[in-house]
Amino acid sequence: MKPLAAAPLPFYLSAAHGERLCLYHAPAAHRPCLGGLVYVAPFAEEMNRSRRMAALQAQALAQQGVGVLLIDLYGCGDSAGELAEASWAVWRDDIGLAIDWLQQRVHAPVGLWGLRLGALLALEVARLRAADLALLLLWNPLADAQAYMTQFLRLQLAAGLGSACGQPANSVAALRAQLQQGQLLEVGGYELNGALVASIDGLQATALPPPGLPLHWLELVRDAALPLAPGSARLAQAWSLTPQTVTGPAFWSTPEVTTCPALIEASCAWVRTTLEHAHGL
Amino acid sequence: MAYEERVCPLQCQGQQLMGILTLPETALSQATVRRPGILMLVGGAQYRAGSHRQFTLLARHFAAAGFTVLRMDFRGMGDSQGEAAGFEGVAADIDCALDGLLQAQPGLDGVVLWGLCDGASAALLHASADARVRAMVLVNPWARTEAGQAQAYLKHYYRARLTSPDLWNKILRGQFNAVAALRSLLGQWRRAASPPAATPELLPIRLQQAYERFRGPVLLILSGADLTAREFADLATPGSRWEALLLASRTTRIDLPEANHTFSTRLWREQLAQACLRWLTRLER
Repeated sequence: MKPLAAAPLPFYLSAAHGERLCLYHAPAAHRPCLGGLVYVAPFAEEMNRSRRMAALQAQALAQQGVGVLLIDLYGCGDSAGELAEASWAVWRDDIGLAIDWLQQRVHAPVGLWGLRLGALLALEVARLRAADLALLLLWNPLADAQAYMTQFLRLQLAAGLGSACGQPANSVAALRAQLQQGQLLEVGGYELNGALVASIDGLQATALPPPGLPLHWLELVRDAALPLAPGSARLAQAWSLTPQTVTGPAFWSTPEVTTCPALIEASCAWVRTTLEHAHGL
Repeated sequence: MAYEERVCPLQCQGQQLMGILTLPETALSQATVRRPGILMLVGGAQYRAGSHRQFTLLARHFAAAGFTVLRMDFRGMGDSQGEAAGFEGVAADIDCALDGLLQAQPGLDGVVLWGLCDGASAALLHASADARVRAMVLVNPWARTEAGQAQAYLKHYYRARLTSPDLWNKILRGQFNAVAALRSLLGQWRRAASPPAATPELLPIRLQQAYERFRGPVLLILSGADLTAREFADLATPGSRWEALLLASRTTRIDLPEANHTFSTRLWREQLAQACLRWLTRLER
């Protein structure tokens, strides 16, 4: 029988402009603590939809002796503030704070694990703090954040609601122009500011070579027999890396809660091996 | 805004449920009026923050206006332990959350169950059996049966389509696929006409019986641009028991004609919050 998982510890972490909600999945008591991981969630509705997978992965890692910290970024989930006031720099600092907290807690090597846009945020922070980090786990990193944002903004066009003030825009370019003029844009219930959208637009994963620390790229695909999507293939070439593909549902976008046990297993296997290696085991 | 937030993990049959308490800044013990707390029950696949954070933002709105709010993940959802059971299997979760809320704030004057979609249906199914529940806010309640869905689709979707300039443009330009459309219409007709299985367990009937057993005040909020809300409203056919319930003096019905199922604009969310607050302040004693 599987040992009963300990309940995660919820708490608020003090940060700039208010508190951040965190959940700490402590390493199981019956095993040596191998290290820790901070989870970096994807954007907007993708964060909500992947919440279950994040919780299950964190629980599975904790069972293997890895402490996992989930943090809601500023203006997201249960953290302070509104998304309309969020910035990429504040989010980077939030992940930094989470790393500091986890390092003090586990006294063992710590890494980052990010999904989709969160993988790019994790990558940026890892490039800034490579010396502090022991590993980087990326799930379906966005190859082209600008294309991703374009798709997100199209929701607004599809809804035909117009911007918060002014007449309905009829193209994504017009929406971006409104954002540049300092207007807030409401997309699918999320209020976006121009600076945040510009930051995300400017993220080119192909131009962000991973830092020199153990990195594993897991790509969830519908059919492992098919070639990689063009964006992922470009990214693989730019990084000279081959992702490990896992077959399963794109749980960050399905209307019902879906999970992918194979992804959890593959992640656990790599994290455990990498941390054991770091300990010279 | 004057609110505070606290984590509020709950224990439910040996499993931890993740909860967040949002409180007015002024301690309740100092308040001169006795107010109920609010337990928010999320719907469908959502976790406690909700689509576009609607529950986080609504809870802050209610707390800033003086109400204590608890939101939580049902078992097997979000950050809660255990296996998901669906909205008809969350009685124990609601029970534990009511315990947790009243332990955290013993000065509360009972609790209002606030539910969206199948969270509203869960509230209805639970309320009459629990003396701690003073009132309910039901937002776009889920009462779906296959026939009801097809009827709502026929009535609301096809009517809107027939008066849509887009459809007539398509027909005039010869882009309208009449065969496919007719086939779809006939399919909906057949489903709408199918007799309901002759069991008393049909969801609308169980919800109606639960509504009748519960004697307290109910605020019903229905979005105009939401098929789930249309299906629910369509239950109140002339002369039906649903009609009697919706016309009863303890029921307040508010229609928000522009809003969609999850109130996905700031304006709609604020309309929803204001409608709730106007009604909630009348519950004070």
